[in-house]
Amino acid sequence: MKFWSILKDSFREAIDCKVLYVMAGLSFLIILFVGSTTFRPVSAKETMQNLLSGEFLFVTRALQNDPESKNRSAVPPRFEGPFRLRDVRAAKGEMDSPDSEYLLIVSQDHASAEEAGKTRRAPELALETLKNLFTFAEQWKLLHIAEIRVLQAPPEGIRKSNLEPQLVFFQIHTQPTEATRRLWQHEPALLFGAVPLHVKQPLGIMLYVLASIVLSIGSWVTILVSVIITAFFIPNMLRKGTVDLLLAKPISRWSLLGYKYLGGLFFIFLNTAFAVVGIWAALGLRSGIWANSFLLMIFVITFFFAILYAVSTLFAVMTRSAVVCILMTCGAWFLFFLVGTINQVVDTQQQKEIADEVARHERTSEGTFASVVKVVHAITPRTSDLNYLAGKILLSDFLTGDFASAANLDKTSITWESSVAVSLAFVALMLGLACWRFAAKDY
Amino acid sequence: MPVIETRDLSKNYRRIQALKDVSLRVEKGEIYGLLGQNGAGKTTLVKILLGITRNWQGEARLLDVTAGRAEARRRVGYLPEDHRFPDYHSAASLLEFYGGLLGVPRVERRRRSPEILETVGLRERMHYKIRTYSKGMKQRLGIAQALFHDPEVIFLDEPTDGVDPIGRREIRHIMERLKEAGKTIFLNSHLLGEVEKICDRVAILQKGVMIQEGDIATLTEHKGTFLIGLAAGQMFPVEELAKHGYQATRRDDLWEIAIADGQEIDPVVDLLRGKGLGIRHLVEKRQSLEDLFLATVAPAEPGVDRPGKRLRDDRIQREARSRGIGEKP
Repeated sequence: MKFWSILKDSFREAIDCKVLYVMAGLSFLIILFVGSTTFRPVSAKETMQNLLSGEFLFVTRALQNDPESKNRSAVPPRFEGPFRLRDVRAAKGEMDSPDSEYLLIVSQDHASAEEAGKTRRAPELALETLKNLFTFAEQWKLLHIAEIRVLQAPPEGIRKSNLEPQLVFFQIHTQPTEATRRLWQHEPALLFGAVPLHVKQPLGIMLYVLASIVLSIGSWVTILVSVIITAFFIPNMLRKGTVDLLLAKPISRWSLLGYKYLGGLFFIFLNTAFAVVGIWAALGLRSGIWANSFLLMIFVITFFFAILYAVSTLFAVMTRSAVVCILMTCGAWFLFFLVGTINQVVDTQQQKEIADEVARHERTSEGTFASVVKVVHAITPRTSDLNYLAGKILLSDFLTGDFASAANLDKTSITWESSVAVSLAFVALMLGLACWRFAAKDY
Repeated sequence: MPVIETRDLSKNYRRIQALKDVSLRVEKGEIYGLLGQNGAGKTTLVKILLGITRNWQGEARLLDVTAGRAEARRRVGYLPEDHRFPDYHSAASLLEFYGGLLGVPRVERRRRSPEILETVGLRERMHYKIRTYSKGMKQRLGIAQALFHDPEVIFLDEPTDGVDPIGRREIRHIMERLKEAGKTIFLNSHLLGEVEKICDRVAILQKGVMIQEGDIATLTEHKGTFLIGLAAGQMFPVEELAKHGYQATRRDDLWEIAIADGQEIDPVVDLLRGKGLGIRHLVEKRQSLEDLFLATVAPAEPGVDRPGKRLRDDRIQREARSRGIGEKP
């Protein structure tokens, strides 16, 4: 009951600041903007051609962060040589829809009509080759190959110029996977199609870029505004004449401060949830891609804010000044960013030096400065790492629909476990100090 | 068993000694007034009892548990001096909030809220934001929140501060009703006239030390001084009384007789009657609580509201005037 009372009180306090309405209005505008973006799929033939020629590979490479795995990533055999994609037909569903099943008509060129005839009679080798060519498509879950079979006669509808006797035709039955729509090229337009952008990109890429821009700007603004608004919560509570009334109630000081802290988090949680769910729904309705891990951003942003709000809480108890809280929190935010960024530079340098087999004593990434950076990074909240990990989730979910498997490609030392654990320990330390000070102080 | 009890209670704020060996005892159903200049330690004492101030020495018990414990705070109402309610609340939502912290069930909160606000005259404005309230309304709300959960003990720190005379009378009536209901009230106030009217017992603190304690009647009694008035036109036998060892001093139309230790007023009465004089007025002179306070409390030290020269002169003149007035029949 006490928890809910304080939660409601914090909410009431937040609502009283008209900024909350402004933030909700801004979130609504962003959602509207995202919702007004349309994506028109390009033709199935063009998309299949791109998929099969390996055009999508830069996407998969982007998921891999270390140079070693980039070099190792198998480049699929390009769909060229004797094989050519002749036609694409809808087997099930609408033509040019990413969600349809397709029949790909592929021809194999032979030196003579006799050789072509041999292949028609004993197609095993050609089928095996074709199957190998499509292995990568299945490996990356781009398409599911339901069937590959040789056609004894050219299919109907093939142009006469392609009906040469040395050509053998194959039919490949594809079924869509979760990634098909993501990698299907689309043409975007803003404001309900009024402003076409004249680019063709895989849908997932465009969604990732759009979501990243919107989230980066949105979360930055949301967190900054929240830092400012919530910086007043605890100093206001600790004002003479206000705190007396609360301390005279049968509630422990630890609970009072802890609940007030959670009340502040609840404020940004609601705010973030509204914006993220709105953007997620707008993107989903517009693109047909329901990137559910996008919803994790609610917790990532709230957790990010929880780190900063713990700093604010400590300084609020120590100084009872909202201005000090804002300054110190923004300072801490910048410090965490700085430490994270420098650590990433050192980390990248270290990986490069290891790859280049630089002798240990000559490595700049293992000098005193680098060691200091690593120690400081080890004990400070991992806000930069959280940003990186959140970006990775978005990227993998928008592109493959399977961020867990994509995440396995990442060989960096940044992990959710260590980032969350160190950050949580920091939050606990800040709140513990704040509660200890609050509990011991005379008011 | 006392509701509030302190023994040798002391509290230091670094080098400043806010309370020094204060011992007091408040019984159930009493209205107990704590007087003292600003900085005398009154609020500190209340804050210790409520657990707002910690790290004290001595013994302090509230409702038979050590002061500051949550189980005692649950049964206590408190109106602090200079209180500041979160102004984003209305009176109704504030009571809802505080009621939740006090563990009052939701149904009970909804039932009691309009009732208690009716009592303090705020029901019509109960859904208005507190920021629109006048000082007096905020004070009434403060009393409402202190009484909301039907506490056994109520601590009121300057409850009539900022309240108009009619409001003060209403607050006094509320306190009287609470007393009738068996509640214990611990009152800090500078309005000595109010305290005198309502309190059963008072204590005076000076620089953290308790210098006076007792019931109002005893403290304001001016032992050994009587005021006598004769019928119109009759001469007061001053010289004859002096021969018998009684000193008479004129106070307007009355005569003040100072009785020395071992003397009684009866021989004076007998003498006046024996001379055929008509006694129209005879009372033992009493002092007001303010007189007592001013006579007891020394001027504050520098830094603790030391009165300026003009104020000190005013005080001296007031004391002089009060010698002839302030009597109670």
